[in-house]
Amino acid sequence: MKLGALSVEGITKRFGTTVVLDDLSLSIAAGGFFALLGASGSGKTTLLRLLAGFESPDAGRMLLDGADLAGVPPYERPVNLVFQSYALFPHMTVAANIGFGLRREGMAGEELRRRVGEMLALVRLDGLAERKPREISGGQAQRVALARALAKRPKLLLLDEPMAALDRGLREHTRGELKRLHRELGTTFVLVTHDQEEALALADRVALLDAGRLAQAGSPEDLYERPASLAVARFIGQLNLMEGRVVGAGDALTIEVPRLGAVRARPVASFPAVGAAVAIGLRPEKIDFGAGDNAHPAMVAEVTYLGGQSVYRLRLAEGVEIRASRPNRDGPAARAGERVTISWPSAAVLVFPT
Amino acid sequence: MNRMMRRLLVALPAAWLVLFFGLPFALILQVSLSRAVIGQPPFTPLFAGGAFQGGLGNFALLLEDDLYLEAILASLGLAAGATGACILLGYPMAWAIAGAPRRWRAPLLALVALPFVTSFLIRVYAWIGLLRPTGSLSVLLQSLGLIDGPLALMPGTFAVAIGMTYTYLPFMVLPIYASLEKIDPTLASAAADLGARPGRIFWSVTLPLSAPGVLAGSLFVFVPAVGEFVVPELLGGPGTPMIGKVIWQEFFNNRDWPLAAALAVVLLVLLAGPIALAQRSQAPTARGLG
Repeated sequence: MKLGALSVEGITKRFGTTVVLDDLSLSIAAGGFFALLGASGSGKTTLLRLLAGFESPDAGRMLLDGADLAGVPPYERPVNLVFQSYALFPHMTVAANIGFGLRREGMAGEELRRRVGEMLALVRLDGLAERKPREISGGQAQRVALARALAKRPKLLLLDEPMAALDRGLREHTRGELKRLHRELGTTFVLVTHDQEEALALADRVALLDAGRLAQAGSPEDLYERPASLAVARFIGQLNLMEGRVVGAGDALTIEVPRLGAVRARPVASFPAVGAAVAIGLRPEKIDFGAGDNAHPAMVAEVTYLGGQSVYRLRLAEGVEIRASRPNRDGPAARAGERVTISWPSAAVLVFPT
Repeated sequence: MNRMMRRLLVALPAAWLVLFFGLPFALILQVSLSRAVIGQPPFTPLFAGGAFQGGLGNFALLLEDDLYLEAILASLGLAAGATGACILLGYPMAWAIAGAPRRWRAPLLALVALPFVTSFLIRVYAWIGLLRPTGSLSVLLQSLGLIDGPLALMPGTFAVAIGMTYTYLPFMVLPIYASLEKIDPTLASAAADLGARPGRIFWSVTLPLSAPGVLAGSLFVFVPAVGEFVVPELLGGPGTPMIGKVIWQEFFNNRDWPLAAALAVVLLVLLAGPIALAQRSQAPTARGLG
C-alpha cells in the first residue's frame, strides 16, 4: 500500500484579522503529484507551512495516513520541504547537507555515506559531494535541496515554488527530473506554484486556491476544459470573454450576445434559466478558420507570429473582438486585413452565470 | 580620474597606517634596541660615530627577570578570561537582540552602546564603589547574610576581570549581533524540517554561522584587554602585575625607556599571532563573497 495520503479538513488560518485560509478541505491521494496553484496571497504558501508544521491552524485538522498532524512539531513530521530559496546550509558540504536529516535519525558511518551517495546518484550530482553550496550552480543547488529533502524518505514531499529561481531552459529540464523522481520514488509530492503551466505540466491533480478558498480541485484537464467558475477559467489559460443573455434552452443553450448575435453552447449542469445573464468564455485554440457550428464573418485585425503558432486578433462586429490561435502547420491561416469566416463547436463554449 | 580616485582610496588607509602605526612602532623598535642612560632623551642613539650601537640586550634582560614573563602570562590569562566571559554574556545578549522584533533592535543596540556616553574613568570608579569592601555590593550581601565579613574582591585579579568584562562587553555584542542578524532564518526552518530540535539547530546551524562574529568580537576584546592599563591600575592591587602596568612603570617610574620599549615590542609580536590566525580563518568567507 502506498503511503502519504493526506486529508485536509476545514482548515482555517488567520494572521491578525486577515483570514488567509478559510475552511479549506482537500484530499490528496497517496503517491500523487498534487499542485497547489494560486496567485500570491491565495494562501497556498500558508497551507504549505501548515503542512510542514511551521504554523498551526486556527481550526480544522490535517491527517497524514489517518494520523492527526496537530501538535506534531516540524522535526517529528514525516514531511520534508524543498524551500524556494533552497536554504542549503552554507557552512556544510553538499554531502553534509544531504546527510543532515539522516544524522538526526542517528545514522552514521558507512551507512550514512552509502545513503548520501545514493541520494547524490538519484539527483545526478555524483562528484559534487565535497563542494560547498557557494561552489555549485543554482540548478545544482536545487537538486541538492531535493536530495536533502528526499534523503529521509518522507511520506510527503513539499515543494515551494521549486523552479522560481531557475532560468527557462533549466526549468524544462527540472520538470522532467521532478517527474522522474516522483515516478521512481512513489512519494506523495505537493507542489506550490503560481505558474499554471508548471502545475498543469507536473501534477496529476491541481487545486486552485483563490483568497484562501478552494476554487476547484481536479485533473489539469478538468481545470482547463471544465472550469467550475469564471475565476478558474480566467486564471488558467487564455480566454475570450463575452457577455450575453440566455434566449433559448433545450438540447442546446442559445445565448444572445449584443452586436454579435446568437451563440450556441452545450447545456451545462447548473442550467441557467431563459432570460438569465451569463458570461461565455472561449479558448483561443478552439476557434476554427472556416465554416461550421457558430460560424461568423470576421476581419483579421492583427497577426502575431510566434513560430510554432500564430495568434490572430479577429473583429467580429463593432466592439466585438476575440483572439484565436492556430498552429503554423502550413504557415499562418490568414493575414492582417483579410476577411475570413470563423467558427467554433458549441461544446467549446464555457457558460458561467453572472 | 577614476584611477586616481582609486589610488587615493588605497593611499588613505595606507598613509594612516604608516603615520599612526608604522612610524610610532619604528620609534619604539629603535628605542628598544638602545641602552638606557640618565639624560634627555633617556636612551643612547642607535648610530654614534658612524657605527651601529644597538643590541638585543633589553630583550635578553626581559628573560632574566621572571616578573616580565609573569606579567605577560597574567595579562594573557586575564584577557582570555575576560574574552570568555564576554562571549558567555554577549552571545545571549546579541542573540536576544537579533531575535527581537525589528522595531526593537535599534533601541536595544543603542542600549548596549549607551555606557559609552559617560566617561570610561567614571564607569570604572563606579565599579570601585560597587566592589570595594565598604561598597554597596558588600553591604547588600552582608545584610542579606550571604557573606560574613566585608567583600574581599577589591583590589584583586577577579575585580580586574569583572572590570574588563564590563568594559569590553559591547565590543563582543555588536559583531556577534551583526553575524546573527545576517543568518537567513529559513536555514533554521530547514534544519527543523530535517529533524533538528531547537538545541541541535543552535549547535549545528546558528553557532557555526555566527562564529565569524564571535571571532571578531574576541579579537576586539582580547587584543586591547591584554595591554589594558586603566582597569588593573584602579581595580587591581600590587598582586596583579599586568603587562600594561609594567610597561607604564618601566617608562615613567624607572625611566627605563629601552626596556619598556622592548616589552611593548614583545607584546605586539604576541598579539600579532592571534590576529593573523583570525585573518586566515576569515579568508575563505571573503573568497566566497568575491
